[in-house]
Amino acid sequence: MDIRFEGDFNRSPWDRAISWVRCLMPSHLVFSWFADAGAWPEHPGSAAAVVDEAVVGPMRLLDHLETMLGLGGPANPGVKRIAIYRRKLEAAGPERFWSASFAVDSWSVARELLGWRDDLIEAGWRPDARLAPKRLADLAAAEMAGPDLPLGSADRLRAVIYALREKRRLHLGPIELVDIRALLPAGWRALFDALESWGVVIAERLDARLPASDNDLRRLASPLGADGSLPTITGDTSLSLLVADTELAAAEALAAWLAADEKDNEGVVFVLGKDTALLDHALARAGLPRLGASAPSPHRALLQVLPLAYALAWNPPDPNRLLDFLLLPIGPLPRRVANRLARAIAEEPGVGGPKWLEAWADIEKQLAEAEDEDTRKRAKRLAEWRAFVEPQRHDPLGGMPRLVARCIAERISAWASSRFGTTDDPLFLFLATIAGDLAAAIDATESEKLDRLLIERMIEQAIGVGVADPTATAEAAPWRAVSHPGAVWGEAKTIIWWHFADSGETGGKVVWDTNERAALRDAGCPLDESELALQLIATAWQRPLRYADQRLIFVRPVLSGGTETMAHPLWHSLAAGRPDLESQIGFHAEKIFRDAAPSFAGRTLTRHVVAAISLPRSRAEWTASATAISQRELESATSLSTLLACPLQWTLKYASKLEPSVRQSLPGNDTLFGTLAHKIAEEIFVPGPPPDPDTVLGFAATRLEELLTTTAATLLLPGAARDLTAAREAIPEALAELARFLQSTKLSVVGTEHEFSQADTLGQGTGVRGSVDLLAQDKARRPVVIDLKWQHTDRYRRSEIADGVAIQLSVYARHVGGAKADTATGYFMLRQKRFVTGSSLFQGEAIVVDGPAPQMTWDKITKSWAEAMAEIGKGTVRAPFEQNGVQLNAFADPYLLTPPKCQHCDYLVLCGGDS
Amino acid sequence: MNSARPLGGVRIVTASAGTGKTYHLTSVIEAEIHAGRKPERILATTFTIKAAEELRERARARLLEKGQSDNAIRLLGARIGTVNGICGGLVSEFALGLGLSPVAEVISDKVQTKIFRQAADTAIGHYASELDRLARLFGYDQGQKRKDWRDDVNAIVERARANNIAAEALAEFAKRSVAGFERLLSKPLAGETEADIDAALRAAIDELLARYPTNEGLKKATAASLDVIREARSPEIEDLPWSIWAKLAKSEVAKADEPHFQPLRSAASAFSSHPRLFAQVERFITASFACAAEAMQAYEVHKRKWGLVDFVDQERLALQLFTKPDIAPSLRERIEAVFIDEFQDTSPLQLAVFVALSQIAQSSVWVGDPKQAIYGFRGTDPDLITYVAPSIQAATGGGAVTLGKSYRSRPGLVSFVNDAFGATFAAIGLPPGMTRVDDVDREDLPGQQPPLAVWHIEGKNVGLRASALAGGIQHALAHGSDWGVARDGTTGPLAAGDIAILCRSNADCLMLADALSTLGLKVAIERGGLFGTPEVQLALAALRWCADQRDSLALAELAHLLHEGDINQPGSKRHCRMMDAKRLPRSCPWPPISTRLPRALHIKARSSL
Repeated sequence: MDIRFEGDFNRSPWDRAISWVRCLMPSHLVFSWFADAGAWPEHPGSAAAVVDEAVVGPMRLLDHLETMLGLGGPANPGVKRIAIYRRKLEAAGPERFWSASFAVDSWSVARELLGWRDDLIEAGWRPDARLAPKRLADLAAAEMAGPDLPLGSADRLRAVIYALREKRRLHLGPIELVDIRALLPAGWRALFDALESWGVVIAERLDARLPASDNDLRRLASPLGADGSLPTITGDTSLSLLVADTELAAAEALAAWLAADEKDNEGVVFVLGKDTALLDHALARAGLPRLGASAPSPHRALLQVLPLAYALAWNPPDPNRLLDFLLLPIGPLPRRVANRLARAIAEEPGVGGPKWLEAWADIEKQLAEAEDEDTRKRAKRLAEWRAFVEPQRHDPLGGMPRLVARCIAERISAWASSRFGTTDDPLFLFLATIAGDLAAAIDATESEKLDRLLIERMIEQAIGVGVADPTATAEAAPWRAVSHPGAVWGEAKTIIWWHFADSGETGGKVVWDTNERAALRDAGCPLDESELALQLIATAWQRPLRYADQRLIFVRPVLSGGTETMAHPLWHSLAAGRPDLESQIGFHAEKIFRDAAPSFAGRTLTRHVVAAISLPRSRAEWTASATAISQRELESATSLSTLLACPLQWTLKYASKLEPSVRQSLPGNDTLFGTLAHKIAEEIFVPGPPPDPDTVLGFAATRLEELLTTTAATLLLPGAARDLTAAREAIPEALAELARFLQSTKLSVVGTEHEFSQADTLGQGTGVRGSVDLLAQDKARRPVVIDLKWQHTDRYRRSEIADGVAIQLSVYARHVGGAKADTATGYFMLRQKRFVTGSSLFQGEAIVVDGPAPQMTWDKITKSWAEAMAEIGKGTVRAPFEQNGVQLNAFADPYLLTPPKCQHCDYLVLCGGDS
Repeated sequence: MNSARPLGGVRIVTASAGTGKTYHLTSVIEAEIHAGRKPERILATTFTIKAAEELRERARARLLEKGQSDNAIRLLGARIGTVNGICGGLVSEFALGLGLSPVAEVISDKVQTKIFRQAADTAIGHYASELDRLARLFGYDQGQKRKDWRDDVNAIVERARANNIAAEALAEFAKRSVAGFERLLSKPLAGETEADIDAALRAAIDELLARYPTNEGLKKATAASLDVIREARSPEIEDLPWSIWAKLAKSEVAKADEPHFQPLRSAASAFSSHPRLFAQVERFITASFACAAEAMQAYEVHKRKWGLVDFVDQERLALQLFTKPDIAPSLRERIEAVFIDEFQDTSPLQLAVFVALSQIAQSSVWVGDPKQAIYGFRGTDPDLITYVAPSIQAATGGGAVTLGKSYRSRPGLVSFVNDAFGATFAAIGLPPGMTRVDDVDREDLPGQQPPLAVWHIEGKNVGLRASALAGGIQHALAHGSDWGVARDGTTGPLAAGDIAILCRSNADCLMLADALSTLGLKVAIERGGLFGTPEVQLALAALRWCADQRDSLALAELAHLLHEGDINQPGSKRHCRMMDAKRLPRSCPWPPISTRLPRALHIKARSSL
């Protein structure tokens, strides 16, 4: 490349600029419609490298020309263009062909019509042409109305064509077209015409050569014989079809093939019909370099910050989305802060309830302890965090003020920018950019308020472009890759077409009717027929067939991403008239898992049997070092119930403290009903005579409404109306019934959530602690333990009492009434509105179940506990999962009291029991 | 519906299995193109995406074989897909003409109920109190499988929508439903009032409980019935679920106690003529339909507001589109020839769509086989092809073709099917001409056994019968030449891959697969339970650990799944596969950790660092 400066500084600035540009511009271009994402060969000529020459696709050519013509500018994000076009459509006024749809979903209409408009502009439409058909007239009106639309690629193309027509000087070498010129879209044909009129030589490469040797490849690429017969396929390995049931097997087989003759991989060219995430894993496992082609995806975890941050700003508050936000792998809140809040939400779904406040208090305390920052800085950090999770909420239909909407995007952009500064992770940069684009687009709408649909559509648009996996990087390799078969424009020793399946690139819709097309044609804007684009693509598909010198391998997984793939349309052409083609050239990837020396596409793979690995079996008895697990100082009713049903579960949960992460889901509505009833009961059943049932009814109804937002907000979400109605009716009624029961049985309230803790009650060194839901007493001051339960049925509770295994009741009775007292106990079943008890004192007022007295149960508990601990102490821990599902009355064990409840156990993977 | 006459007649093709249906369809497509139809203006619907793909491939192959590569390329632009896919595509293309959002997010089956409930929330809220109470009285919350009245409401809405019935019409349907129910009830005895029936039951209960204060010394059956009776006593009689009335009416007791329970049975069995039962049923039906009507309207508003459509909408809106006079010219420019495959599995709404399409296109071909109608549970109606299609064909002046030659099966099998099913189909109104296949292309090869054999399987239970069948199959494979199969024009011995086994249920499939594998025969069968496999458990544990390193349970699972087990462990599940030689043998990157419990404690200590 000649980079000498001509020392004539007396020339015009324009001429000087042209000279500069000439220094930078290649003088020989090869153009392929498909080459923007790279091409093979990478540059013209056969040398290892060239100067002054390049292979370009449409966008790169446009860039070159803009630079040469002094045009161009910063790229305009799509989201902003749509926002502005939306305003133009609005400004065009009513009675437009889009008006009805615009009222429903203005954003999508603007996006759709902007696409139509850009296609028209590219084809040469001039809005001032005053065309009669309504849709064209309406679009022209929009073009004239409202603010200026930032340029898109169609505008840029037209600007270049107009600039060329204005006869500016242009120094450009010849351009070789890989594609057939007549098949290019109208706008691009116009560009080449304009270039040609300036003397630029535009030449079609007509040398779509056939492979030199007489092999299957050549035969398949050849036209029909003179007699119309198809050439015979011999299966000579020049052409292979690797078929796999799954993409994983395809990747494994291909990697094994590449590894089978590494020296011969030089000159391999991949045509990538899909990203290479799975293939890269297989390559890396085979010790080969990775291709690192990652498809942009809007589903990268980090990008979810944006939609979730907005989701928190709508009414009604949605604890599910809040939990999602807090559980994001990377989010604006530090992990420990997010986890703490997530735990609060998982217990009490809502914002502002006691658990939520407690969590914030903890966070503040930890921050104060851990950090040396001054109070102001700490307060600032806390305020930043709170702004994300406690934003002001708005009505989804009424919308949020534009400024508020913009602030959310800007807040995320600022956070992502700062994280990029410290981590260098390109995902943060991308998020910062799209959040910034979104903020600009929100501004560009100039709407006073933006409703939820509009905001969500805008977010979809902003993150919809997606981002590639930043960890996917190409490694130095003997091969090259292109992303479309049309990007192969010269010879390659071996071509591997990864994911040879239909990618849906032939889909398209016809927008304009005959009369509209006629009007456009008459106005000098002839639109292409739809088949033109199909022909351009179909011609491009043929290229690997023509340019593969020795071998072409098609790789087709039958399943990809869980869906069945469809045959590539090129396959239709190849297989037409050759029903046996697949069996002639096909190889099933799954064979590599069975055969020791499978062979395909000219290579034999060496495979070895992998030693069988035995999988962990379920194990009902575990061993530990004697004395490794010691008894605990205090048990609770729950931990005791666990121990006396499954010692392994108790060992893992309580002794080993193996804990799962924060719960990923919120409590179900039945659990919430129970929580709400407990909370209200705690407030209304104060020590003394029971409250009047009507008072309870009124109080509960009022208090319930207050508690919903802070502790059970999921009941306020759309879809929960039935449960909410039920809660509003059933909870006050249940509590009123409780009051009625206390009154009619002449019980007085001693306390609610009555706590106790006593040492050594189970045995030497171990006592119990806990709290009783409602402790009452009768006239004789005899204690009555009432446990409140919200359950679908009381059947299980009744059998617990009947079988003498109501552990919770008897533990409470022992610890609030003492060893000798005859304490009455029972469950008040809130849903069924009745007291279930073993005590005959309540005959006529409750469901009285025949069963042993609580004291007898306690004796059983202490005995069982002692035996369980003795066995554990000797190093034997049992997991009696085979007793799962056994009815209480049929359960028999040397010392365990109840069958295990495996369906609710977190530790099943470890013991191997079946839930 | 638009009263315009169809431009082209509807030709109906009846094609039994194996009579070359797809071949016929591709021939007709080719002929239409030859006659001047533009390939990209062809519209063809199939029942599955895979069938659409096959049709597209074979139609293109046919054009390519005839040297019409340009037309084959243009056929890539044709609309070939499922009815939903095609309708959805056209609705989206003409969204602006219909005043809809051009972005229509399709609601999948999986989330349909959830979205419906969200949309219909207010309507459901209006009726929740009343319907909850009534549903409880009808025993919805009893039994192993609880029922939800919202599912009833959803079902009413679904059926109404699938048949294009407006919300306003539902009240009338409620009346019909109530009248239908009323016919099933006994009439109350003259002079008998609600209070009388209730009082009689209450008295019978009280009397029994006075006689039997406890269950002590009673036989099991009597004690169980008494438990139910005690349960029944606690609510007010008005709140007693009807399922309990029914239960009391059938109380089973020990023989000795029989006479004492008779009054109760008789008092309780009056429930079927109880005026309150009828009043409550009437209210339940009326309220359910009213809620459905309100919910349906709310659902429509919700979908419109949020740019959502479901599968029914795709067809309903397409019908709206096809019958809109101002859009018809545009549609005619885009659709010239219509082909409908698997016509026998057509719902009434789809039929309306096809008729409307026939008024747009210049030619329509509907292909089906009434014998193969299998999607009745999806609201399709095989009677449409039996009774309605011929009238449409006659009214539009289209032809009717029956493909009468089997290219797939052996002559004996074809005769067997003709004889076995001909009479059955004739009984449901299908003339033999539509169901019989008279001509067979194939001939039996020398040495082939008769095409049909009957095996009598014996065994006391299904497991034994499955084993017996598996044994028969094993025997047949061992004597493959007795069961000669045609291969490339000659007879070859039966191989495992030649056999397909049709079972009634997935559970039967599994059982038979087990029986076959016990005999060492490999079986291909779809199975569930992926998430319960150790491989997936391991992957999940690893993901959980990556997501939160404080998840000590995930870490313990990793350690357990990676290191438990012994290569020599007898009876362990083994997996064995070929691997790349380079990947062998590689030592495990983890130090061996025993799964003995103290180690689990050790892991906890490490994970809390």
